[in-house]
Amino acid sequence: MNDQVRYEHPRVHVDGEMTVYTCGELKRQLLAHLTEHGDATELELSRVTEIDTAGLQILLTARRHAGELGREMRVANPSGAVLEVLELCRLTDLLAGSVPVPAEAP
Amino acid sequence: MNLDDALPGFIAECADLLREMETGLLDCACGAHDAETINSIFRVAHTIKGSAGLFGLDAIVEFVHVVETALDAVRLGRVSMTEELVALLLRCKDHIESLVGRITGADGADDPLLDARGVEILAALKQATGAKESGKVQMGSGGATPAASPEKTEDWRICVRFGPDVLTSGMDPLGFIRYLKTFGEILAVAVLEEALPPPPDMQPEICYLGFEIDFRTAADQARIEAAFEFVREDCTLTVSAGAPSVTVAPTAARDSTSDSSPRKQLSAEGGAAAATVRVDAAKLDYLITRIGELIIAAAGANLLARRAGNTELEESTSTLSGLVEQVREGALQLRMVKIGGTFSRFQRTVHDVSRELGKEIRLVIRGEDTELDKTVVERIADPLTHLVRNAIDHGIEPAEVRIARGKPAAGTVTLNAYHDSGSIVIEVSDDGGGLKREKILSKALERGLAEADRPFTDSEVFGFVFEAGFSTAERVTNLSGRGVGMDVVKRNITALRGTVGIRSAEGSGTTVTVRLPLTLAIINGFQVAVGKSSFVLPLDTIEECVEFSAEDGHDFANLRGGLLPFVRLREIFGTSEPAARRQSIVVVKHAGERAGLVVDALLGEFQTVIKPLGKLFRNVDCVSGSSILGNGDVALILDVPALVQQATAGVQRRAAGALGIQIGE
Repeated sequence: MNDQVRYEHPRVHVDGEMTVYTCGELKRQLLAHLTEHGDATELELSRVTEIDTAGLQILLTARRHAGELGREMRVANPSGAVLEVLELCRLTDLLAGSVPVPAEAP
Repeated sequence: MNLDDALPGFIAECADLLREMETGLLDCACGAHDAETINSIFRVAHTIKGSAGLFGLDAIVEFVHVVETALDAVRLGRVSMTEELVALLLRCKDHIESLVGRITGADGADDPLLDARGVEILAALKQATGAKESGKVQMGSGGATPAASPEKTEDWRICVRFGPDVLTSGMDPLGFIRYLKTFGEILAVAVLEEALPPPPDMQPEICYLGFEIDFRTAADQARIEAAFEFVREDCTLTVSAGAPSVTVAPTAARDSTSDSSPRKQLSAEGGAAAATVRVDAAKLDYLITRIGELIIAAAGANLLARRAGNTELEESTSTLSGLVEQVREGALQLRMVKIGGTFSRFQRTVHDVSRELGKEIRLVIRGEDTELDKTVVERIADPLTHLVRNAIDHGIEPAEVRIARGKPAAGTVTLNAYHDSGSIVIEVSDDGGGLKREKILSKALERGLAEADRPFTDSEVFGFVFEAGFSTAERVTNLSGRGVGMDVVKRNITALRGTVGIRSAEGSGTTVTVRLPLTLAIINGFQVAVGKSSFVLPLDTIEECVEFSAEDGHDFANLRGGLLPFVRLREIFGTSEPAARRQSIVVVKHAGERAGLVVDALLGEFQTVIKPLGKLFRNVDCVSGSSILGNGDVALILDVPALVQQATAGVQRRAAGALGIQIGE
């Protein structure tokens, strides 16, 4: 659980579960990484296996934290689980432009 | 927090949760697959997975995850809860239990096949839920958008804010939104995130989010509100018709929610903590033993005060005794649990066994709120299981036989519990074929258990069933019929100072009645004396005390015109001192039978701490334990069931004998 978040320029990588069970430590690590690495602007979430409301809150908090530090944070390479949640909540604007956003059903 | 310390808590929690899951699944098997039940099963899986994750128990997490996914599919209506799926999920539940058992090192925990079995179960589960899933998903993604649907759809605006602790109580608000998709189309969603506090203050486990959803569906408002039923008490929900199809920028509600959520959370935590406390059973046992000692010490003080003749001292010790009694009541109450938990376990037994035997059987449970001591509950489960299995296997006839006899095809097994004069009575009855009296008797004669030339009462005949190795079954199944078991049942129950009896009518059913003392620790006693020795009777078994009056040589007295058989304690215990001038009869009752005990003196009520008898006394009849009196003397606790039996057996036998002679002549 300790190394769930790591930094690799220019991205902060999150692995595993982003759920209520991991969110305490996750929030601490994520904010610490964002604070420490001034050049981090993207969250690499390709290896996130599961995300729930708690995980979503962490994402929103991280975005706000980055905003307070004067940066715009986006999600790169969302895993299927992450993408599903972002689409469900119509939060695909969180995604980095490199990822094609599927058109929503009318 | 040290996780190792918390592990026993997790294991206990799992046991509770799994029981809940089993109950839910069995309800489903009975046809009650409503959303509530399925949600509760889902929540169990979800909670176990989460807790197991905290302890790093990966094997459990991985297994339960698949189960949870399957349950989610059921919850979302993608897969229906068939009987096969219920059976499969029951196996999953058992497997989780084994996995949890492996942590504690319980029996069979190091089964090398455990993991292999897990893989096999999961494969079956994936197949069961996956196969149907693909069939339905097609419909979901292709045709489900109810464009072609002839039903009239309407647009709704749903505004929902979740309470701060929905996450910690194991629910995921996103799940509710997903659930909405099962009966309508989500046009737009706005995440209301303005309640999120600044990042440093944000507490990850608290839910701050709300959602505004524009929703198009043919369902009515009640149906939409019902989707949130699960968190109804924990969210504010407004559903209004005619939503504009444009996402609205949410800014309004900010002040009210961000203000109130921390306070709300505090009060919710306080409320939850007050409900129940888990206490280590060993601590409770320690408390009970200490209270036992306290009672003995208080009785000693009482005695000294009376001897000293100091009125003030007597008064204060009597107040003390009153308080001690209340403490005792309270402490014993702590150990009292409802028998319902044990009973509902048999739903599973009945489900499994009736499937195996191909019999259709209903389990009826009555008196599940009857309370008894925790230690008794734990030790009664095995004998009861045996009795229930027996009832199903031997008691209930095959469906065709039942129909031929004019009974409903489905058999009924009834579990009943109630309190009766200081004991708890548990009945296991079936509406099956009943015991074959003649067959049992001839078998008993054959095995030399009964003397050929005397008549037997029904209870005597049925009593042979409890002899070791006794079986009249023509056919041995892998469940029962080998003649082992009933003797073990009887031994287990006797070890709990209980009794067991059978009533049966051939063709219409059998009832096995188990009587157990309510508690194994402390009782309200009544002290009597014979010669110089003191004896204690459980107060609850005593009906009244009357003056002794009987002609010499008779073993029964006239009690208000009725026949009262009695025994002389003096004879039973071989007391040599001369009898007191005025003896008394204590009338006791057990299992509907009344009997008198002739004693020299009545000494009054006495709180009795039951101490077990030493091994030497194990085979002494009529004594069930010992107790220490205030002056340090030992008093024997009388075994009322045995004494009643001894008194009534004499009279009955004589009556039966007389009848026999008449018939003979």
